[in-house]
Amino acid sequence: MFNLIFRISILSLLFILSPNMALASQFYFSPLADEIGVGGEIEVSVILNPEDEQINAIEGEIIYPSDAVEVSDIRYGDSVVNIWIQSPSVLERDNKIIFSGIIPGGFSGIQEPFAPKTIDGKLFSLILKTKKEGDYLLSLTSGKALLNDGLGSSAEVSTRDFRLRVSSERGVSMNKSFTDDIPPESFSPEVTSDPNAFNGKYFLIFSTQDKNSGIDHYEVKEGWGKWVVVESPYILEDQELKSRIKVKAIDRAGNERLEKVFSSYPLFSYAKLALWVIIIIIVVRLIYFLRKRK
Amino acid sequence: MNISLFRKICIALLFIFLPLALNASVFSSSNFKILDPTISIGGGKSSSVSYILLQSIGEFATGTSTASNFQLNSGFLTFPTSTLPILGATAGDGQVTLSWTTAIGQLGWNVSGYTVGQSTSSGGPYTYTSVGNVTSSIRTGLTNGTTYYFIVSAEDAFGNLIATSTEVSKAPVAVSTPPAGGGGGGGGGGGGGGLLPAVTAVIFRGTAYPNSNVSLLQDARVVATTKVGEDSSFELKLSSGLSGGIYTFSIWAEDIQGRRSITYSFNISVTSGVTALIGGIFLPPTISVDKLEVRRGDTLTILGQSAPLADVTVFINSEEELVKKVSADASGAWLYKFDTLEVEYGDHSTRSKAAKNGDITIFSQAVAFKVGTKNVLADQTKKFLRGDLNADGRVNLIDFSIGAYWYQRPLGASFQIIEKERLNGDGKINLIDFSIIAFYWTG
Repeated sequence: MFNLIFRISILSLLFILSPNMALASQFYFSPLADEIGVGGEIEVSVILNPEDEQINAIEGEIIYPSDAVEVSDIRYGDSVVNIWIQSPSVLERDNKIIFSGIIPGGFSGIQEPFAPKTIDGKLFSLILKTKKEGDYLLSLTSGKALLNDGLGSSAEVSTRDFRLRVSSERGVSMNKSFTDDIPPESFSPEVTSDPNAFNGKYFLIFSTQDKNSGIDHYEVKEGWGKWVVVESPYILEDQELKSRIKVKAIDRAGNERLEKVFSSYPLFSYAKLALWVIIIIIVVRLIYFLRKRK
Repeated sequence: MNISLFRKICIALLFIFLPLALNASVFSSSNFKILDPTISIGGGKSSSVSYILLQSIGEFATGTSTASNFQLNSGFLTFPTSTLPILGATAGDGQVTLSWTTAIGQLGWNVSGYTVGQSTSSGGPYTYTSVGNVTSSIRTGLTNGTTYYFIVSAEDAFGNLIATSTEVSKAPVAVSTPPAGGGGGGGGGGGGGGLLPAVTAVIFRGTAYPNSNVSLLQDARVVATTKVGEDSSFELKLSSGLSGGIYTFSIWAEDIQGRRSITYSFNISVTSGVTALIGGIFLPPTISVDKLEVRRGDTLTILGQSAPLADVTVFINSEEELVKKVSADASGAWLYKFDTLEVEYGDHSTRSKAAKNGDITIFSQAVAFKVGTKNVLADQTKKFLRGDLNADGRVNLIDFSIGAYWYQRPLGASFQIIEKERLNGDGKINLIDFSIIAFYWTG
């Protein structure tokens, strides 16, 4: 009898508590398959389910078996995260992938026209290349999701691990291919300075999106200098702001978007050059005719 | 100086500079003649029906033209030039469509693209956008009724602007639109979705405050603003720069007193070639208090703006939440005089909601106040938002970058004050501070 009461009590507790558990925001993995052969590639997406909350900041670490799989690529072109504090990056030495970012205005699920319910948002996708047979676990640790409440309150967060089975069969590639001939979205790079950052030096900020293949990298060219691969914020070489700055956003398919920031104090312009040419012509002609008259 | 040498110098200088303005007929001028043509190998190759280019240079000494610090280009020096593009403009709803004639590169130069300049003042200064090698561009996010001035410049291969059109101006005009397809719904003022057969676009319709300014953000960047009329309704259409994909759109408004609403966000899946309609947006009221600290027993004035004649519910967050009701006037202004005897000494906060025509908003942001032993007036002129680290009245990528500079490193003395005033005041920059920046984000 006691046993029966105990069981009923436990079941009742589970019944009472389960709605609360379901209300927690959740990080989980969404693989294209659960099993793949050795040598194959598989795409595994990392998803955020906000579960009735509005989340505006996330961070976490994913522990992965680096002896069994290699992270060959990380894609975040279609991420719901707009600005990365730390874009998803592999720390191979520690067998982990770290990430943190913000969603200004918050994320409460993706709305689709006429759909009765919102859908969860992708944070990024891992392309994993398998190296040896076995069962392996990808787990998300230190996952944090903060509420869009102006205070940075923590949302209750749960995580769901992913068990990947690597079979002895020869692996194939299981990741979504994409064609992308659309350049990244137009953006407005801005030069600014602040006494409380970068020792008061002028720096360039920029950010854009590419909804297809995602942004691969940015390049900056100051004046007649060379194109250099940079990240925002970028401390300008020319602190006198005499150079025109060009910024290229290049997506993973190689499409480019070029934007320019006109220099505040240009040394050279065609208008100025034309003026100098006119002055020199006048002076030369004057000297020439004066000498000729002698 | 030997007169012949002087002539040579003058001729050489003329030879360098005159081709910019003159043509080959100069060679038949009666004013001078070339005395020292040094014919290069292959001289005379560049010939046309009207002239022959002999590729000569002024020779200052035998064997010159070998220098490491300049490049010798045979023939005339030319500068990039092209015909002027002729610009036309057509006004639309919140946008102006620009189109122009192709600029033809001259003297061997090609036009590689175009840059559009936009201004609200005739003659500029212009905001420039490189639009690529096209002959049309739609400038969106413009305010109906405001006159905009445009120019278009042709670019050479290096992106230099080499020929600029004459300025044209247009004022975008509102056009009548069909009723909202799927407005309302989505509790808390959130919009329902609808579809209109059109290009890839998103239309936002809703209610803000009379004469307020509404800003629309696409993935954290301001892409459109509009001035709201007396009836407090607004519509923003976004069609430029959208492809299919997941977008975060956000809307916020600034009322006539400069108070800002919360930033209201939508995470939407945009389908290529489809116009999505987000209707029924009802922004929560703006809110402020007249005192930071109020002597217990004195009155605290809580005020803000909402839609005209809206029912405003004011929540006082104390040990026990107090709920008060007030109506907005015809201009949307509302005000509640709170008797502070109703709460204990200590820190409190207040927030509000509005309801009208069966629709209700989500909560406004919370505003803090203290019930104590003296009155401290709130500084109504203070415009710092939380998260506004550079105090420019905006919270955007610059503030994020400043925060990122201090991320996980000891704060400098002056920045400690800012962190305490505008972030969470724990003496460090971490995810919580970025969450605060994201909440107050204005773009």
